[in-house]
Amino acid sequence: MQSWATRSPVVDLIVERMPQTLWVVGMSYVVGILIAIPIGVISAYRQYSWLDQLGTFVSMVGFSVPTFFTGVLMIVIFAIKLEWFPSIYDTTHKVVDWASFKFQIRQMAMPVFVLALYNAAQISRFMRASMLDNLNQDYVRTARAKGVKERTVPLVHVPRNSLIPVVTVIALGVPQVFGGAIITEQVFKVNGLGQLLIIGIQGADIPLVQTLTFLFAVLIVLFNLVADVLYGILDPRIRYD
Amino acid sequence: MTEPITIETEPTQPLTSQWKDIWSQFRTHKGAMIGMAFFLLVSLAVILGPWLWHLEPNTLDIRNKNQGPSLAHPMGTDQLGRDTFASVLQGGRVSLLVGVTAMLLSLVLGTLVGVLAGYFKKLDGFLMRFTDLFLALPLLPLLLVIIMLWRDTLRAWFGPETGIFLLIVFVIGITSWMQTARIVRGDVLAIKEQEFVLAARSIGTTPRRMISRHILPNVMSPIMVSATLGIANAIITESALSFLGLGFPSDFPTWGRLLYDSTNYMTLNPERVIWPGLAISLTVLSVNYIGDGLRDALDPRIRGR
Repeated sequence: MQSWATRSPVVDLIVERMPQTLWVVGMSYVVGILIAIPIGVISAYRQYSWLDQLGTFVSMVGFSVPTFFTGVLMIVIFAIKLEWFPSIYDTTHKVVDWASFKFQIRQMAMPVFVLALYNAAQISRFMRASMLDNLNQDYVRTARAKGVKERTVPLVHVPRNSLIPVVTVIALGVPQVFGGAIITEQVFKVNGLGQLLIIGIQGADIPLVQTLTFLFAVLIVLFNLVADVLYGILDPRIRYD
Repeated sequence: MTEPITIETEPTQPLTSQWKDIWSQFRTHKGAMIGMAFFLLVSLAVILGPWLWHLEPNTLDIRNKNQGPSLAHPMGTDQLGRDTFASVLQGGRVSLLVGVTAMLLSLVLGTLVGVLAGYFKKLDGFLMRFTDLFLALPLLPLLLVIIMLWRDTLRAWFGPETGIFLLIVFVIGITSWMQTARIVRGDVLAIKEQEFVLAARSIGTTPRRMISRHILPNVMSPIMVSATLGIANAIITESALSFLGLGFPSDFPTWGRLLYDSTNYMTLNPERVIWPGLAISLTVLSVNYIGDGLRDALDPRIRGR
């Protein structure tokens, strides 16, 4: 299939833009998860403490403030006023040595942080709720009764069980991240898949839009399946027969 | 001897309605009260503001373009010298109107699907798989594609402003009803098993009367929580669409559109991007806090913790 706008095969356009999306969006999702899980664990273990209140507030802000505002705000503060980071993602940049690697990190920092905050806000809520469900279970009391160190209970025993629903949420969120990345890619001018979709829509480039939406559809079906299978593997109480 | 009697009668005194009880519970939630006050303030400002503020959002004043905040222009001016404060007030009207209308549409759809699926067992399987189908869709790309396909047709039918308004409300409404439907279905299933429903059925109440009289009043609380979260979601989605340049036209600004227009002048006039973004964020935050407080107030299990 050929794009109407560029007269080149749609697949080439997608392959060309895939790495940027995978780097920025994938990294932000990983960073988001890494922030979210400790926050969820701590705020459930110390429920209603000031740490929990802070975590609740941050996650409330995280999903109330849209990514196009956090992104723009960060550009104004860190790129225009302080000039720490570049405001535009340079996709032609190649990592060859230490200096160019540092530049790559600097230009990725803002989009990754913006998306990571948004993802962490959602995942940390799930983690907290799931931890709270598990903290009152019998096996927690058993673990404490048989003399497991107090630190081990919320750090090892409970998270292992609490992570089961969270992992499926994470798996289900993977395709959505590609959707959410449309806005962040637009803000930071990352020429990834989301921006390609926007260009296609604005230029009424039907073959391109069709291919991309089909790709999103495949991703969604795939990750729904992954979530289902993962749930069965992680939780032996669930069997599909 | 008299004292125990007065203590005993005291609790019966404030035996008030359920809604007063919920209100008193709601008032203890500090975030929700601040959110409510802020939301009322913003609503009043955008409803009355454009009449009270002396500048029109479309008045050009090229000599005073790209100004920072001053007494004459509290939020500065844009690249054509239009007053940003007037634009933000005017844009808030559209943003909030879209939020409320889209929320109502999604609420009606969600409640309808939820009640039908919960009450009629035959419809349950089909309607819930349909809901799952919608939940699995990537919403933003879907919205963008719908708007791309239908924008020009609707503009030709209803004119550029009404057409895009109807389209945006419609697409947000039909893509955000699923959570409401699931919650309502769950509650209907639970209520259906209760004895007063059996009693009502035994005296021959028709399904329609049963739903309107017995089921709906009992699922009001989850619907109200969904309503607040629905407003927040609709405002964000509308701003996101406008931000991507697929929402309202530039001369008919919403908060999202104002933010989008001002990002092009970010290096020249960085303060300008803050105002519409702050308006969106604070409004959505306050609405979310109201929803949070409402959920706590309506859930008797969390009460008095």
